[in-house]
Parts: sequence; structure tokens; C-alpha cells
Amino acid sequence: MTFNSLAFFLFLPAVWLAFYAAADRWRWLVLLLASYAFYAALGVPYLLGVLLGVTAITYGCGLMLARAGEETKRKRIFWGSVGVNLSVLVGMKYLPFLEENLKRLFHLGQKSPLLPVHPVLVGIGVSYFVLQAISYLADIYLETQEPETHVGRFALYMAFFPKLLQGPIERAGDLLPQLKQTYRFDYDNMRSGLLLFAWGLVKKVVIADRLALYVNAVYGDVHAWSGLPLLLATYFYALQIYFDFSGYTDMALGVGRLFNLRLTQNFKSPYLATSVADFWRRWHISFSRWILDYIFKPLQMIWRNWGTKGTAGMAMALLVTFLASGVWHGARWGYVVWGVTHGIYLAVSVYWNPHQKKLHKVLRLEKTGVLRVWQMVVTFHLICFSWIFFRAESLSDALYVMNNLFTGLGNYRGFLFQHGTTELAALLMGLSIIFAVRLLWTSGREMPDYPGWLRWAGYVSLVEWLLLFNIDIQRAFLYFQF
Amino acid sequence: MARFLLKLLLFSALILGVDRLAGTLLKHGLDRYFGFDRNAAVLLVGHSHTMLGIDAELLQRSLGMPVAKYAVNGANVFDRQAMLRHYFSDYPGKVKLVVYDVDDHTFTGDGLSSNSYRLFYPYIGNADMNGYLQANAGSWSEYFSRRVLLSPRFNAAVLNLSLRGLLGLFDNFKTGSVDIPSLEKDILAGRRPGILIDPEYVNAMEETIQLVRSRGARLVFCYIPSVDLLSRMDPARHTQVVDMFQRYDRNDEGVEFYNYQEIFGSRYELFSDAIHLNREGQQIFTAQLKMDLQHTLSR
Repeated sequence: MTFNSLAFFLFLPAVWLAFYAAADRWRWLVLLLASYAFYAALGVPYLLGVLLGVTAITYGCGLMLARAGEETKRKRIFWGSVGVNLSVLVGMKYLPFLEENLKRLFHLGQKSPLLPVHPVLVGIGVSYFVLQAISYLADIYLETQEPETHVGRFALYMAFFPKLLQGPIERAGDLLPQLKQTYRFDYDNMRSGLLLFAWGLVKKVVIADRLALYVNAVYGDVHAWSGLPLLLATYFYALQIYFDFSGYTDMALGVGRLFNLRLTQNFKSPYLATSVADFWRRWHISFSRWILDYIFKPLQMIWRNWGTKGTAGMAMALLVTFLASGVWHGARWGYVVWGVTHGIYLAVSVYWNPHQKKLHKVLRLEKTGVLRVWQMVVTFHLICFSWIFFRAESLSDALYVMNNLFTGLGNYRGFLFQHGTTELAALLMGLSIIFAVRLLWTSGREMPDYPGWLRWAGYVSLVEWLLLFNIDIQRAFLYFQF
Repeated sequence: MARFLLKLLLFSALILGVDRLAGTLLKHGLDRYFGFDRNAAVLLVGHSHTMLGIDAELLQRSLGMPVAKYAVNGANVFDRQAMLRHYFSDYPGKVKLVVYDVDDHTFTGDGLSSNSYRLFYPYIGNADMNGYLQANAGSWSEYFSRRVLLSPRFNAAVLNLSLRGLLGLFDNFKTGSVDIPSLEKDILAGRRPGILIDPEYVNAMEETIQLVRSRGARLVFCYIPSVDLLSRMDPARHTQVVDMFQRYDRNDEGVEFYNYQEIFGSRYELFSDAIHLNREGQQIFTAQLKMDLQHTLSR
């Protein structure tokens, strides 16, 4: 069951009604059962077992950590529990990779899979709840978080269905206190939650899935294309992955609001970033916060004496952190190169930033609009370049794309009109509307500031737009696979 | 809570109303595009070959009788059987002649979309089409959502046709000329599908003949030309396919076979790509078809 399925549209109101009707002390149970049902509906029974196992171990170790007084014992418990969680993550993540190699080794062929499910489903959600479990344990170990004693609420913190499959990765300090609050019906939360959900759905099924039609045609067979279509497909992919992932996050946040729960905002206009570091403050925020706090900062501390003022240590910590980020995305060289590319961008910026500031001062460009736009354009292109490795089916495909990006116009007409004029018009119209609405939002006016008739006209148009222009191929969210 | 529920109910009612309005309007446009509003005496049925190869307006004017063109991209033999059942049940007893486009690939689904049935969701209200869609739907949710709501029945391809119908833009053609050297390269590289004859498709075709004849209409199998290099890839199979249509022609007086492949297949200037006629090809081909149909209709 995914957010963009009819099953979910029936599931959500049923859960909300049960939640609303339940006594306050049992509401956590309604959400927990709903979350487990949501996960079980994927049709991969062992995943529920993995979730329960990770929950039980993390809950138990959290309590033990808080009770253990001796530092050696605390360390042992902490690293032991993190080790178990990491082995679950690595095991689930690399199972398809292992299967593929075993098949090759024993000549099992494509028709005799060891895994009974589609590779995307093998570890769906595991990456997210394991990182959440590790952050919970680390926060208790660092004594910035008290362990949760209520096993049910802790299980809900781990499994809450809107964020289970694709995040945001919630910190215990952010979500657990909210789960203890008494629920009171809040009209504004209901309205804004439903609106946010619908908006996210538009991003996914009207924009991202439509962009995928064009991107997949090129990246599925890169050698059939050259020049402009490769460039356009790369730009389209940058937009596709943003609208897909931020669409999911909007839906998750919207569903959370229906239960008066505020989940972490995962995106803040990432393609308006003025540097790669700024990009990571705006893109997949819950994940970048996680790698910053639990990988980068400890490494930076360890290597703080490397180089002048620790610059070498910082650069190395950034490289390793983003290598780990690439590896986290899966067992593919493309992800590793993508992670390393970002690591290099950031490591170079450690050395380049002081010179850059001087240069801007000399050129009198500091804080000017021109500089800001220039930085946004450069950053966007650096990000797009890294997406090539992320999206290409193989490294050789990625190299082909890089070598042929600027080899002329190519069959750009064939690329743009491959699905007909209506599809292209629907895409361009959709993108224009999304950008226009974004501009309206940034003007600072809130929804209730507009007259009622205009709001209602907007809501009705949004739903009708969804009904008419959704891509009728049910496509899974891109970040499910990570 | 009561305020919220009331607003939600009102909003749902409004959405349903707008959906009905949009769906009804779009279906009206689609009916116009296909010519369902004309009480057609001649019904053209097919896929993109008919869509781009026959100018129905020109044919209607020159024959002096109403012509409907029920053609959608990728419609295979099974889709077309559903299309004919749909048409005959909604507009019974009017059609004298059905013109059905055929080619080397009529007896196989290879090269055609497996999702072509989705183009018929606007006609889910017709009992015959409903049965066909129910049997082919990818999931219960896909079918159910379109059963309840009207707007999702129109995907981009159908929306395009519907808007054309509403705006009265019945012209449908491609410009440009086929790139023969590229086509030859594709053929050599094995990038063009071979000719196949699937018994299931043959059975479906024979059922289609019975269906048309049982409704009192005559049937013309019309081989809309493609570049002859494709037929020459496998001459034996091409001949086998042509022989099958000639046999249908011989076995039933109400069935005819027009083979235009021999006449136009080598005139490459008439093609926009290997399998579709361009604007000039469409006009020349339609003129030829008109003459042959006049002859058939006069008998």
C-alpha cells in the first residue's frame, strides 16, 4: 500500500475514524496497529518481523543504557546495539546484491530467485527505521535523551506509518513527546493536513511520474541518444527526484497533521541553494542532519588536528561522510560515485571558501543578487552532474552520458514529443502551476488570508487537476529503494 | 468537528459535480472526434494506421454519407472486437460497412502497447466495454476508481482526442518523410519486429468477422500501406498473412480485402515514418480508398 493508491485512500479515513473514536489512552494502539497493518500490506511478511526485532532490541538496549552506570558497560551496550542494527541494515540492503552474485556463482538463472519478492521490496523501510533506532540509542548514550519506558509508544515512534517507508527520519526528542500529548480535534490541522497531502500527491502523480516517462526513455537506453536529449533528461531527472521525494514527504507530513503530529520538514527549496553545503541543508534534511550528527561530527572531532586549523581533518570527514551516504543508498557503484562526488565538492569548498570570499570582496559582488543567482545556477549544475551517476543504470552508461552531453542538438524533437503534445503540454503546465503556487507561498500570505471562494476554487481545481492529469501507471516512490 | 465534516461533505459533493461536468464534456468531445454523433453508414476501425492514414472528413464528403473513425493508437484485434461490440450496441442497425485496417502484424500483439485497453475507459458505461475493461484492468483500484469517477477515465492520449473533438479539429496527420537509410540500418540491426501469427489472434479475427456479419454490415479488410522494406524482411510470412485475408474475402461475400501494400508500399515519399503515411500520403490514399469503397457500396 503506497500513498498514491486507492487502498490508502480507503485506509486513511478508516484509521482516522478509529483513532478519533478511541479513548485517549488507547490512541497510540490504534496508530500502532494501523502502522503494522500498513507495513504488512506490502506483502513481505518477514519485514514486519525485522521491524519488531529492531524495535525490541532498541527498546531494551535503550533502557539498559540508561540504567548502566559504568562507562565501559555503557559503551559495550551502545556499540553492541548499534552493531546489531547496522548488521540488519547491511544484511537487508545488500541482500539483492548477494542474491545476484549467488545466482551468477551457482548459475541459477533469472527464473530461480532466492528472494521471493521484488528487489525494491526486499528491505523497504529498513534503512529509515534502523537509522532512527541508531539515533535514539546515540542520543541516550550521549545523555541528550531519556529512554522511552512505554513500549507501545516507543514501537509507534519506530513504526508510525506516514514516515515508515521513506522517512523523514525522526529524532526521539521531536516525535516521542508529541505521541504523549492528548489529542484534540484541530480544524486547522485537518485542513492544512489534507491540503498538504493533496499537494504532495500532485507533485508525485502529476509531475514526477510524468517526468519519469521522459527520463526513463533516455536513461533506460542512453546509447540511443546524444546531445541535447541527454542534457534535458538529466535536468528532468533532477526535477523528477525532487518532486517524487518531496511529494512523498508532503504527503507524510500531511497525514501526520491529521493526528496532530508534526513530522520533520525534509525539503526547503533545495535547488535554490547557493552552495553544495547549502544544498545539504535543504535536501533530505532529516537524513543530512543524521549523517552530520552521527558520522561527520565524531569524525571531525577525531581528526580535528589534521592540517592547518583542522581543515584537512574536516575535508576528510566530509569525504568519508558522503561516501557513507552513497553506500547507504545501495549496492551500486553509481551511488558510491555520487556520494564521493558530493564529498569532493564539500571537501574542496573547505579550502576554496576563504579564497572565494576574498574574490567576491575584490569584485564587489558580496551579497548582490547577481552573485546569488550565479551561485544558484552553478550549484544546481553541480548537483545535476552528480545525479548522472545516481540515475544511470551503470557507470559505463554514466560515462557515456557525460561524454555525449554537449554533442549537438541530437533528436531533441523525438525526446520532447515522444509521448505526444498533450503529455508535454500537461508537464509544462503542471510545472508552471507548481512554480506559480510556490511564488504565491513565498509572498508571505497564508491560506486563510485569501477570500473563501478563492480558496475553495483552488481546492476544487487541485483535486480536479489530480483526477484528470495523474499518470495512470502506478509507480512506486523513488526513495523506496534506498 | 461538525463544521469540518459539513465542509468535507460539501467539498466532496462539489468535487463529484465538477468531475461529472468535466467527464461529460470530455466524453462529448471524444464522441464527436470519433464521429459517433453522425449515425455513420461507414465505420472505420483500427489503430494509428487508420488514425493517420485516412482522412475521414474527406471520405465523408466524397462518399456523400456519414463516416465514423473509431481508431486509437495501439488497438489490437481484441481491443477492436470490444470497440465493435461497443459501437454496435450503442448505435445499432446503422452501419452498412466496416473498414478494418490490417497489416503484417495484425495477428500478433508484439509491438503494440499492452495497456491499450486504458484508452477505452471513457466508454466504461457501455456494458460490453465494461466487461472488456473489467477483464483487462491492471488492478481492482484502477478499475474501481474509473467506475466511480469520470475524469480519471481520460488519460493524456484520450484527452488529446477529446479536446480535438470539442474544438472541431478532426485533422490528424504527420508531416515529414521517412528516413530510409536509418530504417535499413534498423532492419539490419534486428531492431524491427518480425512477422508473427498467433492462433489466439486468428481466432479473435474470425469472431470479429462473425460479429460484423451478424449485425448486417459488410466488412472490408484494408491493408493500410507501410514501407515495403518491412514486408520484405520476411516475404514468406507476409504472403501468408495476405493469403489469410484473401481467404476471408473468398469465403464470405460480405467480406472484402483491399491490399494497398503493393500499390503504395514502394512510394517512400508518402510516409512520415516506416509505418505511417504523411499528409500527402493520407490524401492520396484516402482518394484511392474512396473509389474502392464507392465500388463496394454500389454492389
